[in-house]
Amino acid sequence: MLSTATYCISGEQLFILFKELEDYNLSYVYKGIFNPNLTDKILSLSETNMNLTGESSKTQKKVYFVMVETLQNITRHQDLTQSEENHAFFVVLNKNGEYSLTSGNIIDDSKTAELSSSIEKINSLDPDGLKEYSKYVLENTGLSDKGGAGLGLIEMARKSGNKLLYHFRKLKDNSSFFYFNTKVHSEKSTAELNNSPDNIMRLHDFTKEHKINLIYQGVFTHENLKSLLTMTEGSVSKNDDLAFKRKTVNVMVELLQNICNHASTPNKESLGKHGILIVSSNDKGCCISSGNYINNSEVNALKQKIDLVNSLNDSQLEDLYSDTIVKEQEPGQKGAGLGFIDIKMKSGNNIDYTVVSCANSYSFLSINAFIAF
Amino acid sequence: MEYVYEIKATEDTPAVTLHKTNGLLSISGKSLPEDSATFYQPVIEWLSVYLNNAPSSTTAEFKLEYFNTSSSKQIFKIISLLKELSKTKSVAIKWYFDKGDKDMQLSGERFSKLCQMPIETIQN
Repeated sequence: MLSTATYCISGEQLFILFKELEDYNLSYVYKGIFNPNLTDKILSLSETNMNLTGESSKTQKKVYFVMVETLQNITRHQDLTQSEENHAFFVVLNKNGEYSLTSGNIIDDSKTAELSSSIEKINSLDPDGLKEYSKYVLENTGLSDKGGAGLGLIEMARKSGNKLLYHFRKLKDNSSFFYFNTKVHSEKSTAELNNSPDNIMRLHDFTKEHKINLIYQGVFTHENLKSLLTMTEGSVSKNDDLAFKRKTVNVMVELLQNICNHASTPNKESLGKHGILIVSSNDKGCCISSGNYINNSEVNALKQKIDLVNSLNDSQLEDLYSDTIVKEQEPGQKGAGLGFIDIKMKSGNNIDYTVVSCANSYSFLSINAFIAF
Repeated sequence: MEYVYEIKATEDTPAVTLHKTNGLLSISGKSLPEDSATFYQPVIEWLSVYLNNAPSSTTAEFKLEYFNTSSSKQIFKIISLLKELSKTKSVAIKWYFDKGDKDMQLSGERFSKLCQMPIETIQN
């Protein structure tokens, strides 16, 4: 058995990240390899969230358009030969109707000047100018060798109605990391969302430091869960071990359904269960971390449950499983009471948890499960 | 009772086929419903009626890729009903697993032990 806590983000760090992201209605971060299947899942995840927050269809379409373009840019321009640390990066943040979409990918320094001048040219134009320019590019340029028509950036500026933000961060060996951000405002947008490169780079550094593949912060519903599962299934599938992939998904299902069933929402107008999910991986295996508020009155019972599971050996765990599965569910009981037993059985490791006491009789619970390769 | 009862698979719920004349029960795919008790309720009801009027032999096939713990409780109920049936009729339970999916194989063996009912585990 490996020590789960050694390989996962600590509960305190998870809580710090959650506090930073908590004010967003949605935060989604992905670092890794991008493909059309992942794009579909990110789109459906965002769609579920926009429907929940009651976003107008006009805003939804704008966000959708910019997201598709951003993700297609990453898919086209990602460099699959890079080490994991330099894999492409994608962030969506939404705060009260203001959306910030960022892509990040490595780029050869020889290309940065041309790229900056293309973006500067777009940023210098007003809406009429952009319309003209779009028409001109459509009629006069062929497809670039990466399959883009150069129109994508222009259309992103037109649809979003905002200037395109970008930043090159110098890396070693004649390359830089290119951060590219587009903002979309809804009609009722009230927030001033911080999409400064510093903010995004801090988030990027955090994912690199903790070897994070995915962060999702927002409302957890059963619909979201399906998208998150498929994404994770895809992101751990580089490891061809079927048993490992299935274990990971199984553990994640239990953690996510725990949030759906048990999370409390102290500060927000409740649109659903609020929480955070992180998937990280290292050379030893994959860590699934979940975090959510719970009522203080539930903390002791929960601790006892996890401590009990952690204290048992394999055969004792089998006995507890048998005793629990035959029990009739109590009225109002969500779930079968088997979740933690199953997580320990599937992962083969103890469950690591942290409870941080918060204001107003709430605590923040974070749980780590580690599945070794 | 309906002679044939079918539920089509979705992204998170399994395909279910119940065939009275052929004595076949089949559950396949992913079983991750939010509310497993509600999802499996019609299956368990159908099976409860079937028990009283079943043909001489019944085959139950489980071909699951994933199932959550709340589904496992319902699968346990289904296998318990089949055990009931096995007291008077012939019942064969087949539990399929993909190559390398040891957890799924173990789950089949665990249900067999729990329900004290022979379950044949078969690699796909």
